[in-house]
Amino acid sequence: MLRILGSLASAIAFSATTFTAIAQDGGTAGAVAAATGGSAPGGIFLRTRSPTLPLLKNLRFDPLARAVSTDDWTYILPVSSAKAAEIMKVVANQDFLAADVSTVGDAALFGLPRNGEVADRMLIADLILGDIAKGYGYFAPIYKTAEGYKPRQYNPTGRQQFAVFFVFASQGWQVDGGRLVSKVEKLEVVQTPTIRQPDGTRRFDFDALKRNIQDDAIAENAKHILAHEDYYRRERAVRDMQSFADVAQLARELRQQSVNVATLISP
Amino acid sequence: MQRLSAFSVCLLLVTSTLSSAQQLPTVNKDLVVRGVPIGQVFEKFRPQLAAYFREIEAEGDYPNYSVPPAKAFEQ
Repeated sequence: MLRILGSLASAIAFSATTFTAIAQDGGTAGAVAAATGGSAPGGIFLRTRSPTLPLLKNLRFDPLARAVSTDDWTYILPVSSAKAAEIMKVVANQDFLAADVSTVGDAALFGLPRNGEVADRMLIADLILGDIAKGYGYFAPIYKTAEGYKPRQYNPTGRQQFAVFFVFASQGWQVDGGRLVSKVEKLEVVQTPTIRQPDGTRRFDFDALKRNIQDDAIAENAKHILAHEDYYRRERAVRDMQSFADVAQLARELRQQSVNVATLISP
Repeated sequence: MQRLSAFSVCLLLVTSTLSSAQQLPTVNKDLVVRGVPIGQVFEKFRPQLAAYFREIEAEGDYPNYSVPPAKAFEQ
């Protein structure tokens, strides 16, 4: 019994150390691990970066124009006010948005309201991109992949399980003719080895991650998606992910300057 | 005779409409990958997917689909 407890304690200590190491490595997997506490390493992850906007002068929101303005710039929301309000409420408390369809068809939403429009759209993007990345082919009869690519099928019963996450972010801001515009960050498609939990959720498999174990089918499919990023961004749900990431970035910028982003936009 | 012809034309139209609707491909609802019922996972999100497909089809914004996705999906 003592030996079992000892092993368990070592395992927990190992996981905690590895988790910290991954969280500190500065990589995308590290950012996701840190943000989600090591859980749900698949799905859509909308990452924000450290704020860069200069001091806001006279901030206001015009609901008719759907515009957030200061004396220096105007930002037209790329989504409805309702969706922007949902995003801002979440970013009032955290620096990211994440949604993951679990292996049993449930969804982990990390602060997003269940049945909210934002969560719904993130799950759609996860289903469509995830179907290609894992090569399952649920949408295949009606969906045209870029250049007729036939994704390689991932083996969901293999000894090592994997999750895929798609990371969207804003690269930076520029003011163009008084309009604040977000520069698009390149899409990231990251696969992570996972351990399935009894409730169907997944956690990082830190040991496999440390050994850089990868799934060949997912690697090939991810390479294809990245090589044809513009094509897959034609999908409305995918475009929406970029818009959500841009609004999340703006929310973080405003929050940094003590704006109450949870109440700034009323739909 | 004329009434019979009109009836035949109507019947032909209905039949051809039905058969063309039946010819649309649809998603792999019953997809099983190595014994795992993957289709069921996707099917749990059918209401959200149906709403999404209706939205993009209504606005003609479905360049990556080989068929109108809402019509195909809802079969």
